[in-house]
Amino acid sequence: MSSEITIKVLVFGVFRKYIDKGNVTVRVNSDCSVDMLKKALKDEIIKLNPQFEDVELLDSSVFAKGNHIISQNVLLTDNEEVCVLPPVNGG
Amino acid sequence: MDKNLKILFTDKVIKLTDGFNFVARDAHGAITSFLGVVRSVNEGESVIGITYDAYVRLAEKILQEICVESTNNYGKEIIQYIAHQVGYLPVGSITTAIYVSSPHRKQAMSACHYLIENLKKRAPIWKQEHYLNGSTKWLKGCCLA
Repeated sequence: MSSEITIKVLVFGVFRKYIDKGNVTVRVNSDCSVDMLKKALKDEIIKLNPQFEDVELLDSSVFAKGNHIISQNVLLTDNEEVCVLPPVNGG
Repeated sequence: MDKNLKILFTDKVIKLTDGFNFVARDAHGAITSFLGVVRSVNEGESVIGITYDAYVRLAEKILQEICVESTNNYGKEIIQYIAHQVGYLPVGSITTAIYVSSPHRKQAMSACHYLIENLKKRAPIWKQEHYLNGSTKWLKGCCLA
């Protein structure tokens, strides 16, 4: 039986348009990978913003933990804090 | 602390003399700089300002990696300084200041170009333009994957 874990996602850039407080907490299955978190986050954004249509945004974004980017297959643990980073354009 | 490298994210106005003074060396005959400035028009829209957002913890690490690559490419003598402001900046504000010094101009010019081109593509920094008509838009960019 799969239990649930809580992940806090910090958002940046265009994601602030959809999650204006800068972070969102999602509940996912305990065997959740980054790729699965991406789907859960998309559902959460749609719940908060029924008009959300930028389906490519999450596919073009990466996740980071601390000061490194994490790959799609990394498994997450309870109460972890991760960041979602959309395409960049500084300078 | 590497005395040949400084990376700074700030919500204060960037002081240009800080970068110049950091890279200046008696043995270096060249100092190059790049200054990014908020411009008043983008793609036909009248811009009044830009809000910069950054994931500073990762951005600092990535900029350090870019500077190491630059040192490997253009010589261990080069001194590098990168400052980026975050928060809201009105038109005319300096967003980014990059200074590089080296004994000779070629290395300093190449390194400065390398730093800004890679900062734009690889550092987790984002901009939201504010327009004269009151609307805003987060600009599209380069995928980090």
